[in-house]
Amino acid sequence: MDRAYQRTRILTNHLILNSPAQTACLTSNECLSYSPPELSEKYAFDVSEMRRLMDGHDVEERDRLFGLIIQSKLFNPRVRGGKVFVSPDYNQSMEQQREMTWKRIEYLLERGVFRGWMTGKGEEVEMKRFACFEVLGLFDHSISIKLGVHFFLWGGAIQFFGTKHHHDKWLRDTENYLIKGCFAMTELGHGSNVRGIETVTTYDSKTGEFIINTPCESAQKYWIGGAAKHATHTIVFSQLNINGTNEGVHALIAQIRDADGNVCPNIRIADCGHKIGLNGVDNGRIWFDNVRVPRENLLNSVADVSPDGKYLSSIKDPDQRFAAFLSPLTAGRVNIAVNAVYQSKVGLAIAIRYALTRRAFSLKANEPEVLLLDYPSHQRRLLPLLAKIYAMSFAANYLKMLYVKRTPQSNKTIHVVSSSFKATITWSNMQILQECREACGGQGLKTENRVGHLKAEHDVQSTFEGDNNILMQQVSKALFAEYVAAQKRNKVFEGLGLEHMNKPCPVIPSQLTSTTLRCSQFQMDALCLRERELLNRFVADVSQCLARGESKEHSFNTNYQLAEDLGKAFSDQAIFQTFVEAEATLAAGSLKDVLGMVRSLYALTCLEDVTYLRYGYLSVDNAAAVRGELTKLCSELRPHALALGGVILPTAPNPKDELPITFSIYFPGK
Amino acid sequence: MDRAFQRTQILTDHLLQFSPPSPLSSNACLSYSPPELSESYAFDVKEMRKLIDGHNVEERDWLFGLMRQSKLFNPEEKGGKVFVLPDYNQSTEQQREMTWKRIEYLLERGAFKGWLTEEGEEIEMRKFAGFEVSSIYDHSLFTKLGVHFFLWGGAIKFLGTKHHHEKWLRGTENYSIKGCFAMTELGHGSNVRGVETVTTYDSNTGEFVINTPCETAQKYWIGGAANHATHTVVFSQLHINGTNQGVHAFIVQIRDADGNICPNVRIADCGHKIGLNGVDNGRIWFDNVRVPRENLLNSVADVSLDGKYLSSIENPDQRFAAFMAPLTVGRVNIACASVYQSKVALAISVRYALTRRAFSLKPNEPEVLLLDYPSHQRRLIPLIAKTYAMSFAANYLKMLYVKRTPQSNKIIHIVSSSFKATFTWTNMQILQECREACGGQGLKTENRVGHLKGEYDVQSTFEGDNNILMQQVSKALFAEYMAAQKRNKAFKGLGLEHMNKPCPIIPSQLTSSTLRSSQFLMDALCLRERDLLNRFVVDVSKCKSEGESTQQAFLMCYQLAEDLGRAFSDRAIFQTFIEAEATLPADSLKDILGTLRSLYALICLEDASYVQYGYLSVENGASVRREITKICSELRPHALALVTSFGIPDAFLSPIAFNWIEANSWSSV
Repeated sequence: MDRAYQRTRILTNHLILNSPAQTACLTSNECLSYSPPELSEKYAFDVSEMRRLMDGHDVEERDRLFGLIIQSKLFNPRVRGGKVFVSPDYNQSMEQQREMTWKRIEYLLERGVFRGWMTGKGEEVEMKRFACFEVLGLFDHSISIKLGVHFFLWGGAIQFFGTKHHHDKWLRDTENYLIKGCFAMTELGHGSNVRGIETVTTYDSKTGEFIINTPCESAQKYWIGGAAKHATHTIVFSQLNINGTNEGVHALIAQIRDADGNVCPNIRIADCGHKIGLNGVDNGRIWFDNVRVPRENLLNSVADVSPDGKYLSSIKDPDQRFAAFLSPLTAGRVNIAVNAVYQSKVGLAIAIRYALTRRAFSLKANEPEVLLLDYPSHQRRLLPLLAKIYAMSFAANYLKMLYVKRTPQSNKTIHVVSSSFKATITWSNMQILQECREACGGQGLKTENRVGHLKAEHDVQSTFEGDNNILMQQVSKALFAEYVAAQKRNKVFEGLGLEHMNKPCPVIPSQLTSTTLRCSQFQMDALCLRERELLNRFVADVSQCLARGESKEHSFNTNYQLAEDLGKAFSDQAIFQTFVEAEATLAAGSLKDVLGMVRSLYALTCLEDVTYLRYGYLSVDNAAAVRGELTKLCSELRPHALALGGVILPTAPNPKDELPITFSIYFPGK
Repeated sequence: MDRAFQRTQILTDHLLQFSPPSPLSSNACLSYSPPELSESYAFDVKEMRKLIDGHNVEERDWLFGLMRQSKLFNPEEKGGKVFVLPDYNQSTEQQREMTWKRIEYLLERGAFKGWLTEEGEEIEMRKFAGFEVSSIYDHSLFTKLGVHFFLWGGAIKFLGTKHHHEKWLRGTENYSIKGCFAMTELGHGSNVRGVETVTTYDSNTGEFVINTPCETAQKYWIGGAANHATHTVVFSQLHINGTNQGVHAFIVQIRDADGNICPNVRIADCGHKIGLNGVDNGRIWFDNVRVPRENLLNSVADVSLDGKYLSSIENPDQRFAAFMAPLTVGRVNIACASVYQSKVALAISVRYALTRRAFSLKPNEPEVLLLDYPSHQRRLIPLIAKTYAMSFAANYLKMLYVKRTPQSNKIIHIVSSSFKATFTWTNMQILQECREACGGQGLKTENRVGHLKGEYDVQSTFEGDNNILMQQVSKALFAEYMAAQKRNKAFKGLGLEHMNKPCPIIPSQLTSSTLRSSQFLMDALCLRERDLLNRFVVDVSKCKSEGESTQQAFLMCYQLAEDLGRAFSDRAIFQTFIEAEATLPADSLKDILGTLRSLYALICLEDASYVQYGYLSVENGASVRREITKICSELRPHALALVTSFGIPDAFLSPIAFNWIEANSWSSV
């Protein structure tokens, strides 16, 4: 009422009191108004088809889940500029955010969202689960992580390390949240180097129990998601000492809270405190003081201890045994990689829509100001990122399929590809979010506009489930091993997309025309050439170190720069491959045409990388041609920016999920 | 008591029940060893700190002490040391309240004495030092003070005349009034000339009438407006007798002394942000707000009692530029503060890398310290060199500013724009790298490194968007070139004198000693700047000859403009490094600085532009990279000394910089 009165008064003031001067001033300086980008931009292809292609699977399931979220007050719906937006209230304290995350999980549980996630089997349920994680990740990173710890880490450990009696005992209760699981691997003193953890477990054959101990402060379990508040059970990773022999890292189940939430005897728990993001996840620390668990609590798919205390394992080699224990992390890594792509989609959809409605500076006096996306420099900032996101989407879909169709033979490939994609995609995501934040100017700093906030939320992705740098080192080491193995057995390369190594080295034309630069064969050749050359160099340099008597580890450490460049070359090539394959499935038409341009933009962005000049794969002239073509492609794709950026999210079918700055730059006063 | 009992019990358990310690002996527990025990200082770190702080070292330490002493700065003990840091788990509302209380405390202790009422270089340098120290504690504290003293206070000083100074400056210094600065609007940020707020003059009453004619004209992001400010400077189009005279600045009261919002003013909150939540950014609407004629800040232009517009500056472009002057000091201040954030983050991550181990090279060997990995050295040590370079450049910039003359205005504008953009971008890169280098610990708010990113991200946007500032640098260089060509005169100023000399030549083979020669390094940096400027002029001129407008031509050539802007900045920063080095007597300190200087320059030479434009051959590019790796390993033993020299007191670092095992122990829960 007050506000209505105030508005009327102002209006009256405008009309009566100050009329002559006011109108004169205002006509010369017309006020800005918001014009939806849909009015000026048109779609040259079917955006819902494109969305289907990008999402790849379970589109209806996704939309159903979006709907569930939008319906509930728990997801904090707010009206801005005539639209409803859902996003957690990040001005809440850590304690409040944790409580809200938990309530949202209860709501989804009651609606049956998690049905079959642990008790179902097969590709279909696994793909559906990935889709749901992607959708929930769009709402909030905390809810996705809190679920990820429970289902992928705790649940996955039971599934992969446990045997039938574990599955029977725990999986259904996990799915129903009768128990709440967490995953105690990392310690204060050891993160990436899991084999060095200091927690110790011994076996007491008199009682048939394992005894778990935290022998020192650096052995405290650290960062354990769920431990600080909610979790009732945990998987504990620990050195297993049997009769004075350390059998290496093994996993056991321990209860840490009773059903009422009281911390169990001989367990101590502390909070990890406030973080730069993910404050809706209750990360905690755990100490074990001679905690006794029954013998059956050892997850015994890999190794077991007999009632009288004998160590038994089907895998003799401790290295292989250790590797087997890390396999549930693979699913987590896949999940993180595919989620990161969706964060980039949110960031870019917002930044592109804003750039299509925000103007700055006129080129000439009395002309309207120029739309941000009509600046060539702004196109060059955002459109290559759009191409990257398309490429990462196809790569993510490939990775998910690789994972759900896993066989014992594909384990190595899954490990290498998931490591490479997790590192590359999460790093790209941070770059994309940073660029989008800056491209939105000050608006990018408002929490409600998400872009800036997502950076802090997702920064952790480059560290957890394998530090990106270490994952990329593993990729290079794996490629090295492939090379050495192929050489030794005098066999051709097979797998990991290295078959191109068997063919003659591609030749880059001395003059690159526009047609060549947009030809997918040339692009693939250029990406393979770099990978091949860097692998040859890396093998040569490491071998040289080895010949000088250096240890293998030391040789890898010394050649870290080549290793990094090689890892990137592998990732770029592998991601591009998935793009080409996705394109090949399409019928000729406008969608395929636009996608072809996006593919070229992605490939040329890779070719613009400094390694091409640094190692001489492109001449200075050719590199200039690449840059020139990039600029051209950006301006050609400018008219498709809304269609390409708009289909990223389900905005076309369901615009409710949009965000403040994208639709309306002005908000009525309070 | 419970805890003591529990500890004893655990100990007893260990001793009795768990006697066979064989499993543990193979796997001795980690312990913390302070880096000071293993690392030695090859130079005087106090001397080095004096050199890079450059001025007011005692003043800085006094202010650090003031903050450490007070409970208001939220001291917390972790691992036997006390750290001061705001509680960022507090809500926006609580953080704002705490920021304000801290300002009151500093005010009572006389920390701001003379900041607006005294004149001269000395007080201005002292003020910069005060700001740098406040930024090390908290960006909100720094920004809240900056808006009040530099923006509001600066506007009164620079845009006002004697009667404004007499009326407002003392009250501002005492905080009997609290100022803010209403320039940005929802619809116009970088393009200030496009603001839509309109002011007219009513000669019947001798008052100006200020209006927000539409929603996009609402003042936006106004720091202090949401809760505390009593007065604001309003930037508005001034319409006199139907003619728009362009943007002018007025003083308006927005709250009374009791904090009630004044009539005809409406205020709303900007809400939660990704950082700076201790600053109450707000939005303001003016509904026919009337202010006395004297409230026009009239150093540039005035309106007579009977409503005639009078200005000493005829050209509207120049008039507008004069109104932007107070932003320069803000830009200097932001650039300087960002260097200190890089220092905090590097001190923390280097200290952590000297105490954190990961992976053994061989079984049963101790794990390797992070900083002993060549890859980790390559991540952090070049950033140390960058931070040193930026420190010298910041000191140069401050001196340039406080010794300003009407003639140096252009240089100050260009150098401050270039350094502000370069430092703040570099700062974000450094913070990101340091966060990742600290692994998960970098994500804990108490460890600062990760948190600083959210706090300081705004720096690349406020007081001039970095991209736009860099465009202005290139445009200014273009103008210099054209002016020199037209008058057929030599280049003078902006460090462009090298353009008058013959083009330097890069040897076809680069030896280690060449790569460390400051003459070669300077040549290489000048070569790039020179060539890019030539190219830029050629390309822009070509566009213009094809009929494009100058603006359009600049827009088309944005890539060269960006590369040129960076080339200018790198060279200008390097110049300040050389000059600082030249002041030192030959000794160990100078030796180290020489090595750092080479590292800084080689990092610049590693930039893609050197191979992209063919300034370095593939072989020379490889030599540069190899030399960088070599220097990193040479500087590894000095890493601790180099970050200790940053002079950040322990209490302003974080638990992982010290005994992080003890800080995380059960006994400190």
